[in-house]
Amino acid sequence: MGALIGKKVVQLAAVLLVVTFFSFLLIHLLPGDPAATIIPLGTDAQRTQLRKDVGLDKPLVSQYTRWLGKFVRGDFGRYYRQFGGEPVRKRLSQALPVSLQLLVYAEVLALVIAIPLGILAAYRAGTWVDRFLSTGAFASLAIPDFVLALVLIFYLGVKLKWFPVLGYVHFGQSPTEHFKSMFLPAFSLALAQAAVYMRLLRSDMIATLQEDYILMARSQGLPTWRILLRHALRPSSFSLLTVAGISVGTLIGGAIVIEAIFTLPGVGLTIFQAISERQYIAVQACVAVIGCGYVVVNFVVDLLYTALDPRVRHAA
Amino acid sequence: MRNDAAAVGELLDPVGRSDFDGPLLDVRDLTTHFQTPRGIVRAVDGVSFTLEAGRTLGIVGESGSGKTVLSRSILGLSPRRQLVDPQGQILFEGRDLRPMDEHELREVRGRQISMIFQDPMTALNPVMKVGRQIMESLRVHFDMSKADARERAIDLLGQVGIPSPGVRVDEYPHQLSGGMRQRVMIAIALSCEPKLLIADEPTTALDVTVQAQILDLLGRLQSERNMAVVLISHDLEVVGGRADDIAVMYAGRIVEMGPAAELFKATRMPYTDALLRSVPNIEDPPHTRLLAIGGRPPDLVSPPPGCRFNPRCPRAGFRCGVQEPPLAPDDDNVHHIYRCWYPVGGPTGPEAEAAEARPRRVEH
Amino acid sequence: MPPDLPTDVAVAPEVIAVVAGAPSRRTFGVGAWLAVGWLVLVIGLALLAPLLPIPKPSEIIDHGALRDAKPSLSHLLGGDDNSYDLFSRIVWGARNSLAVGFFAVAIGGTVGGFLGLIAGYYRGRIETLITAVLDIMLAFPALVLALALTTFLGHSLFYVSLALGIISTPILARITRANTLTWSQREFVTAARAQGAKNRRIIVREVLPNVVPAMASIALLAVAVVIVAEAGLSLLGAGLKVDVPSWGNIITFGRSGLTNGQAPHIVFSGSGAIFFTVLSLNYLGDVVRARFDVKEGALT
Repeated sequence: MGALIGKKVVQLAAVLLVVTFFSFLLIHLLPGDPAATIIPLGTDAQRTQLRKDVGLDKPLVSQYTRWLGKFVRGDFGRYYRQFGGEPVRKRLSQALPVSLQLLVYAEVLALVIAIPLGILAAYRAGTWVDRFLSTGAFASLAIPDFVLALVLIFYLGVKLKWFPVLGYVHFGQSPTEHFKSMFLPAFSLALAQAAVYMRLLRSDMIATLQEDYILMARSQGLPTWRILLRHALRPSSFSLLTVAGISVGTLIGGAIVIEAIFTLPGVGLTIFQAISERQYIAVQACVAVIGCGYVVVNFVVDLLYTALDPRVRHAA
Repeated sequence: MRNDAAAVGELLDPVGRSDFDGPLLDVRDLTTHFQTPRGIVRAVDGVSFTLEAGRTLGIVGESGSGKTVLSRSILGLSPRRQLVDPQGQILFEGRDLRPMDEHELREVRGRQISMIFQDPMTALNPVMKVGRQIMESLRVHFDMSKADARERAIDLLGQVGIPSPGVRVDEYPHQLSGGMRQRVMIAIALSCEPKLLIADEPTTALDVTVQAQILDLLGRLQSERNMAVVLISHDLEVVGGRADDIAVMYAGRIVEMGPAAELFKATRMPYTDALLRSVPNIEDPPHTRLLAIGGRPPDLVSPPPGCRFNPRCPRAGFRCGVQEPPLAPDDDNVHHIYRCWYPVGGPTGPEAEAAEARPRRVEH
Repeated sequence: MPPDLPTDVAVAPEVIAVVAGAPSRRTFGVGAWLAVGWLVLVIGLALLAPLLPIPKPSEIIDHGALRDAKPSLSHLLGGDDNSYDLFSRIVWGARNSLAVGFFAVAIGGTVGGFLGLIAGYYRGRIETLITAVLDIMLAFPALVLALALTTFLGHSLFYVSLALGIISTPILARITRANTLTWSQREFVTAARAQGAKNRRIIVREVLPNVVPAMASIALLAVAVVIVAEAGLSLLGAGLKVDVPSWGNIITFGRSGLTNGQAPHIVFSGSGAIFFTVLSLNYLGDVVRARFDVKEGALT
């Protein structure tokens, strides 16, 4: 068990190195002189400052170690503007909580939708209920999250005015308004995820319900809901958990677009604005932060998986 | 058919119902047919038997003979959506289980009648501690508190012979050996003191050395609790020493049934005979050839006409392929019934038919 | 001992019921024909766009009179915020969106297919290495990787296709590897090897043809993913250049008409085109997968 975790930690470190190295390299993909591209309207003094900040004159490897050293200390560079420019870290530290909230809400919402429906579809496998749910899930998978977002904005926001179409309300400011401002973005992200989860849970659950231990539970006279929830759900949810972990990547990608659409001040909106303002250093920092965050999430999911399945837990 | 031990057991039985004096289980003309894409599978086709409290009925047959479906039909565990026109009665203490809905059946399952299954590896939930699996039934049927149920679970684990039950209660099935797992399954099945236990191939998945231990444990618990047992196996030997009565199933029907000793001593049905001869006997001289039954069990979608065993029967005559023999009592013992035109001990089909045909001329 | 068959009849009906309960995508039914029909229509329109009797995509109609106009007979989908004919934008947009989808998956299929075949056939160290590289590529959320590449490389059709091709590579490589693994262990491969056939020949002649259905089914899904990603990049300003008609750009520039409630049809047209195309591709991908009994596991 300990050795297993140790091995995983080494893997984690290796992947983090590669992810940060790639993020670092991005700046060198820019055509021409990076300094000139990053500050097209700047003065020579500003460019010199930038070269010094990034260390463009040094060899690649020492540039990277310099950049990585700053990155782990939380120095993500700064915005380059005509007059000064704030550190990227400041923006990111405000943006990260909003993005995390959105991701957590979306993930929770997706599971809340998917688990009962998946159980129902499996329990009623082959009936019209199952067919209806499966068809619905299939159609949901073809709706890109931003399309759903725009449709919901138009009908529920613009037409019915049930939800605000843009902006973010802090939880401390007004919890109800906070959830109202987060519902459409979270739901837009959640629906396709829910469809994936539901289909997965359905098929795993159908397999589980064929197991002898379910028959055993039935032969002991346990009520159906107890069998479904306590006996069948957990052994059916391993691939669900794995996929929920993997699909955090899809969610993060989706969340960036969704934040841009709803102008939620998260990392996505930060990236979006940085792209349109050509703040390459900021884009680079965001990419590195998201990449590392994603790798860590996958690592945690991997550990959780181990905790959920006692057979894996006791194997090592 | 009852012996003194059973009668004494009944007197001692604290939960036995005194207002009912019929057989504990009385199955009458049970049919379980399934609708499948290939057609209707006649898995159980008109089976009747009775079982008194505290006694053991062995049901023997090959895979596909319908014995497993029969056992599941008793508790209404067959897939309902595929059932076609279920017939017959399953009288348990006089109440018919057949027309009961899931809700009513739940009161019976586990509480009155329990089951144990062939493979404890697959019949125990791999991601639940064994203690919790025992506690589930107790909490549902007796409304016990968690603490009480846990205490009772530890107690039960001890009763089924698991060492240091206080530790094992918090372990997962994969941490136990095969024999231990089967003991856990028995503990679950017996947790609510059922009056009837259906054991579907309880030792088939176990090592030979462990098999006897488990069967002995079952026997001990049975007599302690005066519990009736339906012991299902493909192996006549397993059933032989343990059952009071034995029913042999073939292709969804009972083909021979009677007191165990009688069945072994005066086997009538050629299928039973073949089953007996396919078991190695310690007293046989070395290199005695075991008799394998040729052919395969019949397709239950379209069973053969006449006696269902006739295509594989070494004794079959012309009549066997045309007319199905009734389940009739033996001349020497009315409790011994079988389905055969030309039973073992008499002339074979061709001999009998030839003898019968000799006076007249048979036209083909 | 009597013959002991592994399954008793008791389990059979339930299993059959489950199979029967699955959506009947095993046959090439109405749904599949609708999907093919839609794709033929879209691809046909896209290819024939210059020949069709429709306005040029960047032709301002009637000095701006068509701005945000509702659909009509003369302009099937109305006009957009630049007073361009929206139907023409959708058709020309299909050219670019589908081109990106096709090129990206062609890149991903070639590179990923190659890597997958090599890894699955030769196993050993090379497999470990390739798998590690693929895992690293999957270490980034796909859209983030794509937007990073386009932001720093540029927004031409080539770079956008390349970026999206890179994100589809690991997906296609994984499915190819998994299927190569199973096919490489089949008797006919062993037989070919025993006859002294060269590895390259075995891969191309014996393994590849069997792996193609799996790749094709995933490639169809990958095209759908890429088309959606292209639109996502556009919405972030990281997709094709703003003046290039693409479904993503149509949605991006129709947003103001949607949020002010004046011209939602712009966004809906672009979204509808994406939705039906993605639905068709997903459906056909499933049909192919069911037909050839492709093992899943690589795509999530």
